[in-house]
Amino acid sequence: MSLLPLSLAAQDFDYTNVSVYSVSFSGPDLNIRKDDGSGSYTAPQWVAGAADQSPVAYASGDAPRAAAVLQITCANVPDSLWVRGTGPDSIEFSAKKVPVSTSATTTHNINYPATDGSTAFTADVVRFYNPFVITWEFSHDGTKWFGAGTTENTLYVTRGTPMSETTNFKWWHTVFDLSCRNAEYETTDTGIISHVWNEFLDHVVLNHAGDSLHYYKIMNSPNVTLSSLLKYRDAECYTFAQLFLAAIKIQGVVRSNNYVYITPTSTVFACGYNVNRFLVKNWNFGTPSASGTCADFPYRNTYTTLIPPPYTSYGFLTSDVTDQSGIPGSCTSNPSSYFNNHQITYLDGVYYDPCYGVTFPSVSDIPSMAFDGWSFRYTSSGTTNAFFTNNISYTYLSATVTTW
Amino acid sequence: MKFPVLILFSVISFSWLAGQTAERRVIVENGTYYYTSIHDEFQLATLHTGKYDQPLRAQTRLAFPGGRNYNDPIIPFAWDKSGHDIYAVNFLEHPLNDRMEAIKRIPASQLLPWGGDVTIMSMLMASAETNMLAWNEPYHNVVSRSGTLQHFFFDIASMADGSLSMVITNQGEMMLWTWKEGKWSHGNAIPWAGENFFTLLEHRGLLYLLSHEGRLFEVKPDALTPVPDRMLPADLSQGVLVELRDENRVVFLRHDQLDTDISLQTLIQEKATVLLK
Repeated sequence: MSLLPLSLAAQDFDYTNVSVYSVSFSGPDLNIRKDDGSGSYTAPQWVAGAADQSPVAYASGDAPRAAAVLQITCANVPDSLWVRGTGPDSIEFSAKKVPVSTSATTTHNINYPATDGSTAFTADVVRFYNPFVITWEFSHDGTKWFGAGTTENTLYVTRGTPMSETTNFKWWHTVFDLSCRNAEYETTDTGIISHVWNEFLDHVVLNHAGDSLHYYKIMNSPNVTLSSLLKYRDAECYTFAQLFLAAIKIQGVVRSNNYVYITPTSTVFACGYNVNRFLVKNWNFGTPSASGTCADFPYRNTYTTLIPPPYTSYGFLTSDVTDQSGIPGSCTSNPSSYFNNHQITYLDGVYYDPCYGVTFPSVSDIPSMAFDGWSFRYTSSGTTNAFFTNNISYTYLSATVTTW
Repeated sequence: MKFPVLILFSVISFSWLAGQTAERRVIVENGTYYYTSIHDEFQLATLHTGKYDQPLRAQTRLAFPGGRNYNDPIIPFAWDKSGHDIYAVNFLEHPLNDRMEAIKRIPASQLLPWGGDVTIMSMLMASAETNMLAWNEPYHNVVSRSGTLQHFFFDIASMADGSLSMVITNQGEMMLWTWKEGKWSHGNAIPWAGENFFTLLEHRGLLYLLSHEGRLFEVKPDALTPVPDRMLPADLSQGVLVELRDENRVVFLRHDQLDTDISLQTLIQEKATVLLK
């Protein structure tokens, strides 16, 4: 097909023949990993007709950089066209005269080169563009412009450069989404923490696609890492603490000694056994059957497998104490609630429990606020005897702190 | 007399078979090799065993009721074999798993291959309910002295006299603990500047420690003595330590020397470097 200079009057295309085909965002954009662990989103992040477009992320203070491929379908095409893009917040991708590529068919590409937006994202402010819309236009003379379509991408702007990835903290899509979605327009550490925390308050924590992230969807969920929470959307307490911290770290907020492991103290015993388990509300204490065995822990349940398949309830053989609906977890109304340990976070003097969307002023407050009892157990001949007390003052929690 | 310093030890990056990585040590005794790997998603350990003179691919994989977590920095699975028993510190993250009950001794004969009723779920529950060998007094001592874990690492080694040694570090201090005849004894806290994992090793009745940087130390209750001329050229990431207990030798193999179509015996004969003999 021939390329004709504009000076010839024989061009025969109408203006609807030109449309944007793809857009590629590039550096200094931030790498976004897919929640399913299959890799990262790559350019082009927008493709005409695609069912899903890819997200994009930048740190505040940087300007987006975009390249575009427009297509013109016509038997006779000009040798070049002007192309420009207009984004939100006065971000413009300047007009450039670009050649129309040759083609063996009637469809020709017009490759608008990677161009920095005219305006950087406002420094030190979180933004969440949902979507980031660019209106693309073309022109023959750089004066009169015609529409070539719009492109839309979810675009995240972090307040600062995210903290570096580690073994367990990575820049996953949902981490960007949860954080920027909740903390948009925030500029301070405390504001970011407070607004990110909002995601956990209503016991409905959602991923980037609006899917629920469950705290013990099955009572014996084996998932203990943030990556597995995002991949399987059902996990244990450690992962929700990690998610909350990740959503802060992605904004460049730095906090140490933030990951708190709580467990009954190992110094308190009952009837010769360390009291090393606790019950999260609510549990009903019925008629005690073990007063003669252990007066301080007169309630007894027995089991061979605590949570048997299909992992929807406890498999007690006998039970003086029964699980009731109580404190809901994320997207789970009655999660597992019989534990040896639990994982929470500590930021700026506050203990946050992302699994349940609650805070505590101190670790010592947790039992009275959230527990119904304590327990010890021993196993003999394949059967476990678990003894309980509803005397919350019988023992207390210890905490060990690390930096996640 | 100087000994070769080609001592390199891999904990995580050594891959015998696709997806299977050896944790801390490979043990060879009575013509059989043993090593453990950790599931990359569910923390559980697998005990791999096979004939020393057969290709590595021909092995049995046994489910172990225990494992380790993925917290950063990684503390590799602490395990050892003594006689018919496997000793291990079960530090996987599970809401029912008590770190105070983490020290286990399990007869290898009780371990079953993965499959059937032996599932991830069943083994996670077993890891929390299996009776402990000993109260984890070393860990209790650490958390009693400080609620902050920093540069926290540990390892165990079974000793020739039937005792179990455990070295544990936190915040710049190290302590040696010994479990013998049903009770713990320990040395004093020793200054320790290490910021990464280390590995214990028993050889001819003595306890040794390999630091992550590659230094070899003899460990005693109140002293850590460098072994002269035993410095690795790199950190513990370049290969694998193999304890040849039938021969009273400890050797090293590099990752790139491994070939799963060849027996471990042949690999060692042809390519290993001797560490201790």
